[in-house]
Amino acid sequence: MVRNDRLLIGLLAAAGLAAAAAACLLGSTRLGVGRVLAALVGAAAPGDLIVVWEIRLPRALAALLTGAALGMSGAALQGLLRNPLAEPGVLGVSATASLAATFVIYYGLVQVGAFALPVAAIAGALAATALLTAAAVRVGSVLTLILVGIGLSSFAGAMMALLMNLAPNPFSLADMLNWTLGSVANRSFDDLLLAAPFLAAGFALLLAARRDLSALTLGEEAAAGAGVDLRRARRLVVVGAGLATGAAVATAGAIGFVGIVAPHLVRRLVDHDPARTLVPAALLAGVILVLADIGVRLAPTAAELRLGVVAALIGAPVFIWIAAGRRLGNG
Amino acid sequence: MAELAVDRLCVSLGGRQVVRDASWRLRAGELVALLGANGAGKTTVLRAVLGLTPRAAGEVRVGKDDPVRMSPCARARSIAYLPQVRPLAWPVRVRDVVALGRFAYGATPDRLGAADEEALARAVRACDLERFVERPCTTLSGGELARVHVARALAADAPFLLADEPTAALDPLHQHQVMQLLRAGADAGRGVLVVMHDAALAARIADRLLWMADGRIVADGSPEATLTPARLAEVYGVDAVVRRIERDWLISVTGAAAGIADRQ
Repeated sequence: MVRNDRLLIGLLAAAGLAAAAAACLLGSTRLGVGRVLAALVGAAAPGDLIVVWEIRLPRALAALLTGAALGMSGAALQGLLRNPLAEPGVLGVSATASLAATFVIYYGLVQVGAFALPVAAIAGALAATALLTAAAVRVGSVLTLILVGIGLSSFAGAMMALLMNLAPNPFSLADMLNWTLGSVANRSFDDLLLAAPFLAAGFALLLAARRDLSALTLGEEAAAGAGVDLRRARRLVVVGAGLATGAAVATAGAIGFVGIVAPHLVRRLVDHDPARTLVPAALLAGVILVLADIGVRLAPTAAELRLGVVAALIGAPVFIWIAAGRRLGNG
Repeated sequence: MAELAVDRLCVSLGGRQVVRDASWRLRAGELVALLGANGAGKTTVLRAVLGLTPRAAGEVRVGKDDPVRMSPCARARSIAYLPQVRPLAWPVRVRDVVALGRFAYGATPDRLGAADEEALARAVRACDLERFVERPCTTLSGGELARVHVARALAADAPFLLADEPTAALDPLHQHQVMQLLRAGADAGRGVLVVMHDAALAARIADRLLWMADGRIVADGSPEATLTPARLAEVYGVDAVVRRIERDWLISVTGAAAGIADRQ
């Protein structure tokens, strides 16, 4: 690995830690550095312990992990599809995953077991990524692919609207709204532990595709000639992005655009190599979501802002900016 | 691995026979030009040899093995493939593109072993790219970019190289440069097969011409033996005047061959 990359990854990891620490410090209950540190090592008043260990820390970690999952999935999908606009949110993967999760809530399947929700979200994400990749292979046009993604996204949105329309009571309606808007409020370490194995598997598969993603810069034909097993590369990225995105959605609902913004910001620092984008993009997306979530908590609004709403407000303009800035004939 | 042998290769695409009974040899140290009209099946032959397009019938041998039964990396180490140039997805550095030629050896642009570094430096020097190595590919002209891709193929250090129209859309100087690079690659011991459309340039530089029409190999031999007005009529459907001046060839197309004008 290039020395600059280690430096970049080190800096971003430090930023992640700093952001998580800040998330533990800031909030409606005033806790000084001393009390937070005491709580972190377990030597504090019960009230402080609850605030840090059961509210702020799991919430910050949820934001960090969700961001990392979306950032790395975005970077990998962009590498596979050779387009900087590919992202789980834009391609309808997050929407499909949260639709599947909503189904599980709607039919009360959560009672079957705690694993029902993440498994449903991941199944939804995998179905969407598989459909998209099949479309990508068949038509070979990235524009068509994005249009398929938009269609998928709209369909999932429509189904979600239908479910909300038919919601039996205001409580399940509020529950569903949470999934569509995206939030890391009230997450516990149990929720994170449930998603962790899927996230880890997703990260491992995406990182296993590193070399292939570099070579795909040349285009599929030349990459195949250079020794890339295209089917294996596609499978790794599709299943990896499906697992990671599904786990992210199971944790925080649908949060869009971080998967575009983070890789875009990182890319020129790693010489535009898709492989070297993966880890820095994941870390930066995590930092962005932790910071955005701090903003959400501190914003003096009557109803709490949803993280997904804030992420979209920041990310959508960046998406338009990247899309408008692309040169003609570049896909 | 002194020979790439293709025997009675047939390929069908969408129910149509695109390649019929194609047989040819590519030996170490020779440069062979594959000539034929658009749609004659040239690209399909290359892809089927590599196993990227399924074959309906036929055999291919590199040494003792068929590329279809090799792992993608093992195949890439014996046959380098230079497909028609497509735009790169990202504005990566010239050095990183050439380094991707080492993919089959387990290298990535950010992780090169000593042998990879050496092959990279050799390819960069051979293609006269020293000045460009740190530049993003997007800042290069078409001719310079073509040299980058040739360098990538040479960096693979494979005994055979199949190049699909590496001179397409290049001006005469850059066409000449790219062909000289491939000639030098053959002189260094590789077997090089290059698909091209400029028969005069091919005849000047290649050791042998392989003519393809309608999915069949219709002629295989030296320029002197195979480059004739009758061949150009058969392969391209044109009437042409062919003149030889020492090592050089002049070809002037005078019109569509009889029978072709009626058909279109």
